[in-house]
Amino acid sequence: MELLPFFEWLETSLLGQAAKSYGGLYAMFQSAHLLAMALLGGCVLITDLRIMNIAMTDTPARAVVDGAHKWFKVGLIIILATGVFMLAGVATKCYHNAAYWAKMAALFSGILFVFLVKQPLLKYDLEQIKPWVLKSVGISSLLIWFTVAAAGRWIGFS
Amino acid sequence: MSDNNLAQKQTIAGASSLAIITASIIYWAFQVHNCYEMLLLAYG
Repeated sequence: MELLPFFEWLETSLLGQAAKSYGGLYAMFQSAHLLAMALLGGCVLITDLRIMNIAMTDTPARAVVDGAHKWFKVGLIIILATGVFMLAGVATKCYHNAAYWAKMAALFSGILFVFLVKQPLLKYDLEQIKPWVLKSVGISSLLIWFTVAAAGRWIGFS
Repeated sequence: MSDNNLAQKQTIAGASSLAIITASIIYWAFQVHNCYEMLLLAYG
């Protein structure tokens, strides 16, 4: 499936024109994107470090996991919404950028991993889950979101 | 929630985590190697 026509259309759409023409608006969306990334990253870090028994060990893991997941979803929705606007301004540039596709692959894998693997597992009593499974889930989650963030920054330098 | 379900979810989580860790190590090792080669070309 050829995606370039979609990216070209997105850049010439009203959204793309607004992102290109109004630097202040783009800066606002980018700031919201960065703050949402901080929120999502914080939720990922605290959940993964807690299930690996590294951080917040004096707080029940259930409270950390459930509390952080709610804010993870808020962060993810804001990231996706602001990300579409930011993409619209530079859509064809991103289409030809390998770092952009690396970020999208990592983001898609991260979303699937969280909602299809990690959260269904963490619904169970954490004491019953084998420690090596919790540790490998925590490490892989950190690696995925590290890749999303690093590839995202890379877009600006490639 | 039954023990069978938990066992199945642990297997899926363990297998997918190991796949992600392996893929990440290969991807970042490749990127670091590319960077090293470029620095070698530039500075000898």
